[in-house]
Amino acid sequence: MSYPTKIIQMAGSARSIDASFMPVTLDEKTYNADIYALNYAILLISRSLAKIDISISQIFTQFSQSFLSNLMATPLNDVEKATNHSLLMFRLEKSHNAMLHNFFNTASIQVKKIKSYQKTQFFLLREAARNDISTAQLISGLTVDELILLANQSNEEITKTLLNNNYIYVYRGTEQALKQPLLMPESNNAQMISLAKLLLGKLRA
Amino acid sequence: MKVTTENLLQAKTLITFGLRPQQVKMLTGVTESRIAGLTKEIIDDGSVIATKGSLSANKILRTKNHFRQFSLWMIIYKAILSSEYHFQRKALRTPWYSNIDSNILIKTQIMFLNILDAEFNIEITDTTVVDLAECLNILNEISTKESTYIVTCPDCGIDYVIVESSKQTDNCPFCHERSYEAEKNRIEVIFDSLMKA
Repeated sequence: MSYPTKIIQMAGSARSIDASFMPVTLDEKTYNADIYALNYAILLISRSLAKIDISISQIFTQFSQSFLSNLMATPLNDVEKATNHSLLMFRLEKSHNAMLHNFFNTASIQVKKIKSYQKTQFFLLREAARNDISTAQLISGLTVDELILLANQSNEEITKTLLNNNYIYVYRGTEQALKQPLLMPESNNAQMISLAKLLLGKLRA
Repeated sequence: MKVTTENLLQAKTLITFGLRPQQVKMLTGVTESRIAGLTKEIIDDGSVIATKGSLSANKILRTKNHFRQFSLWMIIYKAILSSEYHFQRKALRTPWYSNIDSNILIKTQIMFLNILDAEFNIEITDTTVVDLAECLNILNEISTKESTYIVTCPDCGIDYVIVESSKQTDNCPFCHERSYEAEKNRIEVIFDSLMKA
């Protein structure tokens, strides 16, 4: 498999680092606030939709029923503490489910919110991929090919793909590990387990 | 080996992360006299250089928290390594810990500090956080000594290091120190999966 020369050049310049700035500015920190907002918003939406009916939130996420009922029982403060600040917890996956199609074709505010979060996630990942591919891969869990493709897309192209396709959220790590910090929100250890599992999920895949 | 500007910049960054001259020389190929010059330059700029003696893994990993931090550091290093090597499509024949790349080291350390700061609100000081020079020391011990090695926990599947000379137990630093509540939850989870199977 070979990439066009222009893409290779772009990606090459993207991944070389300017080491002279490194100890002063921690560049990756700039994404923290956005990543945290995205993670929290998705957990919050699936929690509030699950309160209406668990099956609704199962349409656009891949969480199991037991996990969602656990999430519902967790107070908002504790959900906040279990949310990751520096790694995206969810991966977007294309789905051709008919239920999902119907769900996204309704004009409810929640659906519009989800679509706009998906757009934000794509934009954020594109910026990260243009800046440094390996960091983008670490925070998103996407492959290099997908990131290069994304880095070369314009705003309109991304909007178009989102219009034509329906995406669902898939948790990158294992659910059981995410359950730990929900049960014990103050424990550093439980958070570290879920974080390590999130990173490991990418390595083993 | 030809020393490029990039090598010099990397050497400078590694010095500010507290690596000893010998380690910097080994990683980047910059000569000792140049490293001394760079060190002086950094001091003249007013930056503080972290200085650490060469400690053994036994002394570095004093608590279970240090073990956990080192595990996290290893996972991040391996994740960045796999993405870079996949990207360059090179074959990697030697074990990852005996073939350390300085570029990936710098990226790992930045990501590691970033994650500790953002997720756990840990104040980055000398005593609370395992720093880059120490991590390199441990990796060095793993590849040279037989009493230090990496294992994977059968319960949670996370890699961690075992130091046989350490006072700490050889149990998994993550899942062994569970409180009663988590233990109960774990049994419930195992029971659930057994019932479904």
